[in-house]
Amino acid sequence: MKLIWKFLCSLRLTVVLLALAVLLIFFGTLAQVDEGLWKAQKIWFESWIVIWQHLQLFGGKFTVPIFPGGYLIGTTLFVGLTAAFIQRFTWRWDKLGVNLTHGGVILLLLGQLLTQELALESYIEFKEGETKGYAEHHRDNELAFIRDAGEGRDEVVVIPESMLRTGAEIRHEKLPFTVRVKEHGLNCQIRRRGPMVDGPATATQGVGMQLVVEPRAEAKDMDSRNLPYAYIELLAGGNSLGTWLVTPWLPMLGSAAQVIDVSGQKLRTELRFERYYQPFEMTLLKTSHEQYRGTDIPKNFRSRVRVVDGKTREAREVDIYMNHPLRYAGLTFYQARMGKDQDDPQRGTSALQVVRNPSWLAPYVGCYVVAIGMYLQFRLHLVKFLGQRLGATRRGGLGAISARVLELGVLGYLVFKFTLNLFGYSS
Amino acid sequence: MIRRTHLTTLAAATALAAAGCDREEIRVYSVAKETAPAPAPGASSAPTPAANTPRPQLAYTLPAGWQDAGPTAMSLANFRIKTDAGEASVNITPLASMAGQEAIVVNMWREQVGQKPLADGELAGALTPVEIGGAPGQLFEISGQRDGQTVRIITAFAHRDGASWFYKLQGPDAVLTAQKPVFVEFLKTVRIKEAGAPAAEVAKVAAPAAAEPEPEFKWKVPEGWQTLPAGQMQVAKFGVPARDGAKAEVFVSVFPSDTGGALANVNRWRRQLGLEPVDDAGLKALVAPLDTAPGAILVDLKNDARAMLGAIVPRGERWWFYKLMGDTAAVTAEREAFIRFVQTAP
Repeated sequence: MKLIWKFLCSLRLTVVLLALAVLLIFFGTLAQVDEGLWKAQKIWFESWIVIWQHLQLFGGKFTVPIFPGGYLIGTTLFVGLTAAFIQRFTWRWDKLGVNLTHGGVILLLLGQLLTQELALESYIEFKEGETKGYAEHHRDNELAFIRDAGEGRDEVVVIPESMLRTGAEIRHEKLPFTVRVKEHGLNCQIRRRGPMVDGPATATQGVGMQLVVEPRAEAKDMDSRNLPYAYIELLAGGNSLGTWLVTPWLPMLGSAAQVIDVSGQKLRTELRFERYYQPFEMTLLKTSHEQYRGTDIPKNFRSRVRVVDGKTREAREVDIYMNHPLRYAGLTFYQARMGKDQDDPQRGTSALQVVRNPSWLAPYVGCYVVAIGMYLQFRLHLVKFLGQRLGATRRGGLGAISARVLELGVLGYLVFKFTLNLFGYSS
Repeated sequence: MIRRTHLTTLAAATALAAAGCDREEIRVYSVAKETAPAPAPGASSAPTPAANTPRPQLAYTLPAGWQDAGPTAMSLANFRIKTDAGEASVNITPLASMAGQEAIVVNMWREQVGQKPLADGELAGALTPVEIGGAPGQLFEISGQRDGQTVRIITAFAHRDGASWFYKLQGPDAVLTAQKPVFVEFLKTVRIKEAGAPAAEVAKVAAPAAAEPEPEFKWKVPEGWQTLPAGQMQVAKFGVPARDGAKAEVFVSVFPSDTGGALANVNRWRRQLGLEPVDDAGLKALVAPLDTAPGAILVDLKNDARAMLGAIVPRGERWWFYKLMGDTAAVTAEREAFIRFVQTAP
């Protein structure tokens, strides 16, 4: 135990971890060239171990750990710093600066870990006059089975796309069938089945019988999103109910969810952008989209929305525009994109970025604490040094008191201004 | 010391729990019923009318080695041929009458496998007379590349009672060479017996659903361009004025994504012209920016007498794909008009 404690508290461990973090950032940044931002983040930073997945040796495929991932470095750093902080903590005024700095760094690491797990970004895209009670993820998809639950409600069973691997069989107590994934692709294009040119359709049920899927390479750049597809065979009581094609292309092109009839029980299914339902509804009332004359440079993007909360019986209209997000029910709504409805060019469309991050204050508080800690530490040493060089100043003298008051005033003003800006009250 | 150790353990456990949470699980929840959006035409999952409409009955003599795979929503009969050299398939499909449009049928299939459309006068040489069920029919062959695979297709067709009946044999080259005489003999044995519904009606329901209704676009169509019926996945199609017999057409499609990006689309276009695909470096040499929207590009492709001008224009949430394709003389003559057309948002 002592050995582990000593290992965790050692300064060497922290230095090694910081060096590894530098290398991780370097490699992770380079990897974005080939893997794209999102995948590189997943492989290098949102993992315990970075694994080389494509090594082939003696006819077999191997996965080889090649580097500690972001989670491992971050967690070890957090634990090590906490251990060292606890071991070396002593309550003395002249140690206050060092203790605060350490505490702030620990808070920063903890805040990042919490953000990683709890923060969620999604989007609401709607046309003027349209009301939505949910936001959608900008990259992840889900396979949804929807059943009429009566009293105006639907029961929804959603399977994340990550479970839809070719060959997988998925069962759930709420589903009256087993979902067998016959084929899954990360990205595709669809087109209508050409008369006889195309071979037999893989789908035997639903709209997929009329469509051809053309698999595409995974989109890795930030501006594109993958539109996956899956051929799913549904099995009930040992019998096949048929094979359906599911892809987000279908809801995007305005197709209704496909209906599955299992012994008279009707379920709808669609592979769609992952949804996050909110306890309130938002209606897009009006969009304003101004550009600087003669350019495409946006001058003012503004969405006027009505928020209606059935629980709190709150109904209000708000403007959301650049640098003026709406904070409501633990969510922050930022103006993200603007456009025109394809079918009605007079009708504006808007996309709001929805961010849920319960730990959003942690990095700010962490930075405050580190800044104050460092200030106190340097100030202490500076005063001590100057005192030695210039001769001790008489305590309680008018000059010393004035200097202290001035210092506190400047500090207080800076903290006040920074806090106001943080909460959006910029002057 | 023990207390401090406990605190550290607690910190480690917190960090591990925070970093190790697993979101990948099936979720079940209840939501207020959504107002169902109007289903897109052709996108309904209800049984197709084909299932309820009486279909003509086919009679034929099944050749040795052929297996009846049953009918599908589109085809009235399907057969599988398994041989040591590979597997081939045969299907019989009635479509709305395409009498007089043989060139379109052949060229559409040629385009699908990256072959150049036939020039005027070449069609007669491509079609071979064949007997189908005691009546005259025609047969043609195509082979080429599709999705990186070699495709060979032998098709026979005959027009009958307001419908066109297509008989298709598709598979690896070796199998088709051996099976072609068998296929030709099989065609002679096919008999079609009407079962209540005229063949034309059956053709309507068995054929793929019609294209989705075209949105109302306020096109600024250049002078001389003729509006044509749009094809599958197209929102508009135009014919440009012929120049000394040289013809070309303009196709417009709209998609909610870039459908795989510029490279995939340009290579698809290159295959349609019979050109080899290019890589990223080759793509850069081919495309030029278009002064119509950020990210818009223009691609110039040419293969002897055939040429294509393609444009990809992101507008709002959608990507617009424009294609001017045809004989080089006609494409060259309409270049400026095409670019102006692309630059005008509908």
